[in-house]
Amino acid sequence: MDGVITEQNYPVEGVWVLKSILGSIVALLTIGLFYLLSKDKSEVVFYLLLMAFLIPVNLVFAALRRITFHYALDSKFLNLQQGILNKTQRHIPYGVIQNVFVKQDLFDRLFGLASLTLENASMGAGSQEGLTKVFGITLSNKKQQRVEMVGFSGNKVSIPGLTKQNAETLKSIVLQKMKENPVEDSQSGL
Amino acid sequence: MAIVMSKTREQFPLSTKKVLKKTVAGTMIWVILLLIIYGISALSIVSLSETIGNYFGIVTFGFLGFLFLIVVLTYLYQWWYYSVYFYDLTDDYVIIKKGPITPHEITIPYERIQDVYVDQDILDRIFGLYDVHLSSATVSSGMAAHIDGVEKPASDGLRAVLLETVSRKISRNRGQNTPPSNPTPSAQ
Repeated sequence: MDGVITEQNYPVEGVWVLKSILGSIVALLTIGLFYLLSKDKSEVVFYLLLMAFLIPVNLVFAALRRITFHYALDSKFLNLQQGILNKTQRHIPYGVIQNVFVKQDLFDRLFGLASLTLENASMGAGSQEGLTKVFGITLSNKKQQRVEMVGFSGNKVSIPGLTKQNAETLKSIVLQKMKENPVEDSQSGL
Repeated sequence: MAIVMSKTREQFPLSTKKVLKKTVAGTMIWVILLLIIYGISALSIVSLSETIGNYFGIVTFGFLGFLFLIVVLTYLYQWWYYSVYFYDLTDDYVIIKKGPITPHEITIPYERIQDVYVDQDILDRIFGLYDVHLSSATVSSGMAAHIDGVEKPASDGLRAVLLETVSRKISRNRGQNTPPSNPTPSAQ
């Protein structure tokens, strides 16, 4: 189908996968420091091994997340698919998108990435807005999720790990689509 | 440092007093905390000066130096923040971008703006600043979409322009797309 923009055009960069293990690496370094300093090393070794085991697990999980996430912008809907075991599909009409974010955190700045986040006003689809669990490690997003996972949850759709330029292009495409597909009953009360 | 300018920011400039206000707000807690610690340690040093020797001068100097460093660093950061603060009211969207190290940009179409309000906190009252808030229906837009630290004429101007544009956009959309079978109830 021509005119449909998918992750083939603006992919989530492979480097993004490394972001998921950033926290684990920092933890590993801290524990490593403890290892060097402590006298009774046997206890620290356990945590060291645990961390060393978690890093590849996180890496594989993030990589799977990345390759199972698909988006497609057709003329009327933003179509999304995600899920490793539980597959979910979501179709968002452009008219209901409330706002568009482009964010860069420190990691993104270093690697020239940016994440694009779209929000609608729904409270229904998706669920765990409060907490996301990744193999027992809870990523809290009380204010703003620390590690932005790819895909949708709650009223947010995030496409992280785009290059800065791709994020800007994709943003303008989405904004253009929003303009072309206005909702008739405006939600603004002003 | 070069200040990021947009047409809107030229027309409704951000007040330079914002930098000062943010510095005061950011360092207030440090100042109070350090003064309390300083008070306690000064008392104990004075009362113990016979046994451990007189360190009063060094401690005072240390505290003041640390405080000064915090204030200067905060001021410089806030100046940086001020100079990259970007907001623009384009024909179709409101764009607000802030954050020098980790930039964060929000784009809201005028049709989605739910609320426009102007407020002042206590420091704003002292410095004569206003915050113009606009938000769409989401929580994060409420946190991200505001223009902080403009003076009275600019805040009035921004509000007027926003309200005018929003109502124009909405009425134009209504005029174009009124569905024949199910007329939209007009929201006041």
